[in-house]
Amino acid sequence: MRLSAWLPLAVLSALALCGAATRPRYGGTLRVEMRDAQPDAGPLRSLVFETLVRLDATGAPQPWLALSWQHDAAAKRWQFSLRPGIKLHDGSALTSAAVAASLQAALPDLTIAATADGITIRASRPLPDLPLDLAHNGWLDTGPFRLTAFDPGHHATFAANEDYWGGRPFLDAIDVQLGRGLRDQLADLELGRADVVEIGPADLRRAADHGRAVWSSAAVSLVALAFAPGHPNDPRLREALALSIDRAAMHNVLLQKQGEVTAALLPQWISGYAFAFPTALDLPRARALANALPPAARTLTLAYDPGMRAARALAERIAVNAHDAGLTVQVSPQNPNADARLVEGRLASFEPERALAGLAAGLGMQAPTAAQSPAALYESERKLLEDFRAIPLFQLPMLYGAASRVRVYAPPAVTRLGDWRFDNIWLPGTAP
Amino acid sequence: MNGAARDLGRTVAAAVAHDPVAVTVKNLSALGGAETAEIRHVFESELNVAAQPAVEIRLTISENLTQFLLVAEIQRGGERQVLLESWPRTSAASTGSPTDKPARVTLEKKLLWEQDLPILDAAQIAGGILVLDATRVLLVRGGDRQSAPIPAWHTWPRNLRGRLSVNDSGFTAYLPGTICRGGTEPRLSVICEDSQDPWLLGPGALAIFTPDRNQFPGHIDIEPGGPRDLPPFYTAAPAADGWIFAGADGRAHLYTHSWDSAGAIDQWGSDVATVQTPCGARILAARPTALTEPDAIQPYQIVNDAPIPAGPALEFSGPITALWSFGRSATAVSRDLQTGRYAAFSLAPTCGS
Repeated sequence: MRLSAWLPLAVLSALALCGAATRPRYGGTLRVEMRDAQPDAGPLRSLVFETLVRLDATGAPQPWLALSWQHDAAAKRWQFSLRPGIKLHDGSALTSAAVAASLQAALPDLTIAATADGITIRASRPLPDLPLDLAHNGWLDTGPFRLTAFDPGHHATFAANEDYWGGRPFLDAIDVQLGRGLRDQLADLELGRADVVEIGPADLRRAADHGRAVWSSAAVSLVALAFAPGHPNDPRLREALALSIDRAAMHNVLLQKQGEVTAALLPQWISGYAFAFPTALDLPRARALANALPPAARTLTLAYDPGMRAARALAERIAVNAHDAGLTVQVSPQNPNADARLVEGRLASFEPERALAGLAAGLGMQAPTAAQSPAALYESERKLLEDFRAIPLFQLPMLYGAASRVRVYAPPAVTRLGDWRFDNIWLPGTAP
Repeated sequence: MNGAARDLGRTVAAAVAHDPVAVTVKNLSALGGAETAEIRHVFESELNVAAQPAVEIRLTISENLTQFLLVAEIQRGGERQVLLESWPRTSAASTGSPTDKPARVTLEKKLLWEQDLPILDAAQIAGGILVLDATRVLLVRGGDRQSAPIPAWHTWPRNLRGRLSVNDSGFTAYLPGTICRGGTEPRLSVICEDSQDPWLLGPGALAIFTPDRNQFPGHIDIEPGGPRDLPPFYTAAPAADGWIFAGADGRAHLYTHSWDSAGAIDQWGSDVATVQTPCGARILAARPTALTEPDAIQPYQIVNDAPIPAGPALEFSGPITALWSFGRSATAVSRDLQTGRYAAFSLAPTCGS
């Protein structure tokens, strides 16, 4: 199972792009490669679509398609005014009605209406963090690039939006190869056949050789073990497995210390309490739990998506750890009937409650209970995890390698929250 | 903050039945030492802290995007309990100069104006300063400030450029696809038009600017050479025997007055200007640094079609975002990397020091 939408989010530490930058040049085609063969969301979306609100480097909401907003004392009624003069990719003007319709479809639990110069949003409960939610919902095709060709599973091309309200991008086009394995991507970067590629944690140093840059997001991608919903295995088996996993060793060696170890679904920067879920190895207790099981119940199969970063190495290490606790884990990469799967998925929202709901849904868990405070959210998340049907392991950043010819006018090219800002990229030596 | 600490302290006290506790505090947030100490003090004041504790409490000060959190982890034997409280977050140089030969021309910078919005150009006028940005022309005269808006005929290109040209009868502000003409007496007045007319680069020097780019496409009309099509360029400046164009290809190209190519320079940035000094004209050039790095402007003399440093580099605390010739001086705009603010400087050359 793969978490459904790997939506953008994340904090990126863009390593400096240096060199003889001078003024940015217009023109050229950026060649990008990515693993995902069927991207329905994620970074590609941020090339074409935009939202009312964007988050700045600290995660604070900033006006984007919305110019400003205000709310009542209870934070149940919000008014957003729209930036004027924005065009959709079909050349028509962006209207309040279009914005309201887009948001209403994304947030059906709210009441959204168009006004003369914006929209109003009403809710039956306080929504103090609504702008966080609007940074990831209600996407409109007003972005700096237009999708010009799409061959599912293989290829997508984007052309500069000449009428973009933020100014035409420097690049003429972006050419994206889909479904490329990480190894192939790195080879293409090294051979000059690609300008921007995804990289795995273990390839970080190699990707940064020869003047290439590495762009890294915050921990936005959860790696977890997920048991099949309704699978009748004993909860003691799941707990024993959870306690047997040496996350720290995997993090140090297999993941090259990228991201962070976790036993929580939400990353620390979203929840603020992730550290309160213990991650420490507890082999004696794991052994005790395993020994209490009938011998036939001490075995399980583990599957993973071969395209997932470091998946095989992580799965094999989990099997070794489990063996130390007296369990037998059979790694079977694409076994559809496996007891558990190693999965990776990105946050669907910056708003903690909605983010938790998205992760729970992606892992096949029940919907978390409503939570309007960090304390309530912690309790909701604790309950989700108490039966060990999902075992969070790591929160990983998204990592990209960029060719030395790639320049960034206004860094970062990938935001700390994981969105692509490739309208800020320019290429020297291309015809203007 | 104190309310959250107090509330959590009381909740924890009830949870441990007021048994003696030991508290350790860890700060994972952006709050400082004083706040950490204050939180600890308030939290512990609600508890029975003792040297022989029955319960260990680990208090962590944490944060997320919108709130600060206090997380108390209560450990009593094998039992563990986590309690939370939270409160909203409030919204929250120069490098060493290069070791040049003894200076022949020294640049002195004088701050003209500073603001948050990018400054495109600034010019000293009688008794005041004119400042051009994407939204307005600003006149600062003593304590008086007047501004005139610049209409947004078009979406401005990225890396917006703009140029002020001042003469005795008034001024002209050039922006991509827009030209504004105005005066400063008795008050600031500006009339703008949607125009593709060429920009005035200097006396007798005209060049078309690409309206949706950050560059001149190369169509120029410069006396005495006359009209010419050159490769696209960012800035141009007269040199002793011709002109220098900071090309969009990353190189500065030298041309004679008859438009013969006289070589190229690789080590300059995209902005060049010319200043007149008692020692003769000198070229000012920015470094080829990234726009995320501090920059410097250095005077050069062209000798045998090659640039020779004519004085020490003048360092800035951020990238140079504009550099224009302005008679005997030049105007440079820099973005401070620490504050993000833009500052316009007049660069005045002195000779023979």
